[in-house]
Amino acid sequence: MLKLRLDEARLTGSGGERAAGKRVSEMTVKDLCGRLGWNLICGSGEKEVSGCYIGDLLSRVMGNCGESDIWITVQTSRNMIAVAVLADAAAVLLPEGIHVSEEVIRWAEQEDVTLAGCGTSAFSAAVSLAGELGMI
Amino acid sequence: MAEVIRHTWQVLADDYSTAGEASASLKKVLKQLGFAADIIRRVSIAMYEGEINMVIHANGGTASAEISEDRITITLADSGPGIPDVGLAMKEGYSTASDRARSLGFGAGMGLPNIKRCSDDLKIETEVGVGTTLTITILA
Repeated sequence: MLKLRLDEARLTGSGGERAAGKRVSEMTVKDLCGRLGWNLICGSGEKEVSGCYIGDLLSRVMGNCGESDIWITVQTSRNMIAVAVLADAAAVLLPEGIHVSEEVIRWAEQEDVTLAGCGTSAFSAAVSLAGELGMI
Repeated sequence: MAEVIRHTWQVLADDYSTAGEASASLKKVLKQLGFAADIIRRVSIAMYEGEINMVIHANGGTASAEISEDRITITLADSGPGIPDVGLAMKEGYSTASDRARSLGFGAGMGLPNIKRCSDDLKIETEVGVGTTLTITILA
């Protein structure tokens, strides 16, 4: 049984071949948005993705979110953007249709942070992502 | 890079919206100077945690960085309430952050532990009622 602690859960890609034939290291945020139906809110989405971190406590995110991770969070303040920049996250994914303000979107654009959203839970998004990365 | 480069930023009390600007600015400088990604990440995280600590606990303060070829030294100085028990403050999960700070995702009790983890050397000088100065050294 796959268990994820929603406060702190991290999945990291192994770099193996995916069913679609594209290597994990070549999967970009934009690719994932297209494949999983995520809404690309802003940003180029061109960073490659190797894993995922779920968490809302910013210090924990900074300590544990890896470079090239998709960070799934319910935080929508400007501080979320600052942490995404410092942690070098590939993108921030807001689950459950969470709304983000225009001001924060502008701030994300200014800081070159890719924001995406989805209608599912963080757990479902992480499981789908893990599937796309060939990890499960 | 022969000379030492110095930058200083003012960190404002209770201003969560601009917290992180000093860290982001320092990160850009280090990128331009060509430091390794891991060094930049450690410096950025230590600096941001320090900034946030000053915003939450210390009525703001001054953040400065000295960048040389072989090390980055960050000094975070405030005139806040000081830390009564440094050992407790260093313990992961211990936090005295306000409800407002917690509602914004802070107050995980990981600030000083994260700074220590990112540092090669961390010096904490603090006096209750006088203030706190952190000196963080990260070797390049």
